[in-house]
Amino acid sequence: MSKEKKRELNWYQANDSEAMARRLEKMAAKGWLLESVDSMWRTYRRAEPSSVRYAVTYFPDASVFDGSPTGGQETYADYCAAAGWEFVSAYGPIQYFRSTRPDPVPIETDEGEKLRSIHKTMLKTLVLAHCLLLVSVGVTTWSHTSSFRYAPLSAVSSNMTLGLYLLLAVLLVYLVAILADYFIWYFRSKASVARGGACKKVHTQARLMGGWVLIGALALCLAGTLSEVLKPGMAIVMAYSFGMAALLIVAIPLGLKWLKKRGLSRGVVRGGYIALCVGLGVLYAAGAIALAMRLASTGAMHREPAEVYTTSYGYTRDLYRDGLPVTLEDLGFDVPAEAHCSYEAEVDRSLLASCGRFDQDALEIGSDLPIWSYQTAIIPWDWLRDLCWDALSEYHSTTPFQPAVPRCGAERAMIRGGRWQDFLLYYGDRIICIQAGWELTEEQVQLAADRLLAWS
Amino acid sequence: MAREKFQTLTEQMFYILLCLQRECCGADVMERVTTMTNGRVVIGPGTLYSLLESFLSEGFIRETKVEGRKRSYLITPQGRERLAGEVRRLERQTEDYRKFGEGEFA
Repeated sequence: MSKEKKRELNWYQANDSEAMARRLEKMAAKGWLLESVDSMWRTYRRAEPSSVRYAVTYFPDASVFDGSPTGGQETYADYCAAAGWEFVSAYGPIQYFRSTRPDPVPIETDEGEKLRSIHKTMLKTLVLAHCLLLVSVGVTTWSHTSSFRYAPLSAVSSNMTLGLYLLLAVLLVYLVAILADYFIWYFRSKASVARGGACKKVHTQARLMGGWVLIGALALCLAGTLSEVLKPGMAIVMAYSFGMAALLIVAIPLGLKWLKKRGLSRGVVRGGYIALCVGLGVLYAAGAIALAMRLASTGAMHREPAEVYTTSYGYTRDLYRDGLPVTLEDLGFDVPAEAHCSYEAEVDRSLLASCGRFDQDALEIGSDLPIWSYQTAIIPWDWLRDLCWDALSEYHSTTPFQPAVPRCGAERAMIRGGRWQDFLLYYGDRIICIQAGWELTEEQVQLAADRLLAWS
Repeated sequence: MAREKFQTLTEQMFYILLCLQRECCGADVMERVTTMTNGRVVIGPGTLYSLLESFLSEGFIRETKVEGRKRSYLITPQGRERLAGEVRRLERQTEDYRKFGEGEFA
């Protein structure tokens, strides 16, 4: 952008025409005249500082999919020109006019008509867009809630997941607040106009604050995501996600601009725009699936094993030799070397919790060593620990957990029988989950609990 | 909505309809109303556009001529009836004022 041009982010709520106009007047006084507007930006050009009046008006029948002003918009602009208002720019139904007359006749002289135009415009723009976004964010939140019920400890011990939850929560509150704020303003303005008054003042400041909170949540989400960049395969996943996000941000507005320049009808432009969005969405999903398959097939999502073991049946398996808090050997099992046991420990730490997942797995087929898998999560926050406990104890695929007599110093315990024996133990600072392929003796449970209580 | 909206006419609605008893293009309506009322009633271009569109859809006015972007309008019998109805309403108000108001304030 040269020194002759300047761009500014449009933070104002779409119905806050007064604040927008005052801002443009201030910029004109500083020597910047509005040149054009789009969905997010206002572009100014350098000019002599001047006292210019601006008006932001609403033309509900116009659309962001119009390639050029509609006949009605041209007539509207002609009426404005007759009253001394010069058309500057428009983005969809929101139009910008300026006047060099010291005291021009206002474009809107009837508050009822003004409110009707604003409301019709807002229903088609702000309300529709925010409702669609709300549904989309709601569905995403619901899907993550299901994931949380399935694997709560993984979720709370991942900064990336926590960042995403925070972003979704803030986004939901923000969208609801924007819609509520608009409708409160509308109904208060309607009542005011019915009493012969004017439309109420719009609280753009509140929206600005909400925007900053949203940006803060987005920054935390990004920081959480980047904190996991060193995990195997994550750098590729992040590069793909950020790259595609950048592509979508650039390609969608450019695509719309290109379609509008073709001189096509509104319906065709809208159809092309939807097709572009769907196409890019499908491309993104297809790319993500292809990348996931590629990463899975190459094992890039797993860290480097100590050894790749080939079983007597010719299968290759990753073998780890991590230190485990409690092994089958500690529990009295005889683990022969020919079983080729893998000792795998995976530790995740987040701002809210630390979680260790441990597996001892005999890789050689035919070994009679039982399943031995456990995890412990240190969660200092009572409410979060309770939330995880509830999710863990309520979630089950076939056999539900049953309350059990607390053991090994635990405050609460749950047990699930069946092919394997699963325990959940709740302590003052952590939750321990044990999955064993045999019926553990009291001493074995005690030893495992003691070792996992000492883990940090 | 429109019926409710036009149950009583605002000053701006009233003068637009009054003005359109003679064929007139939209942009000239603003100037003519200002002249008719010696500047007491001023109609903004945005408001004029909205009201003309509403009057058209309600059948109070009709489009008579389109020359390029210039469109001219004329009041319809239905519009005249609405205008006359508004005048009757205002006359009744004036009569009531004379009957009850003046004496009290005299």
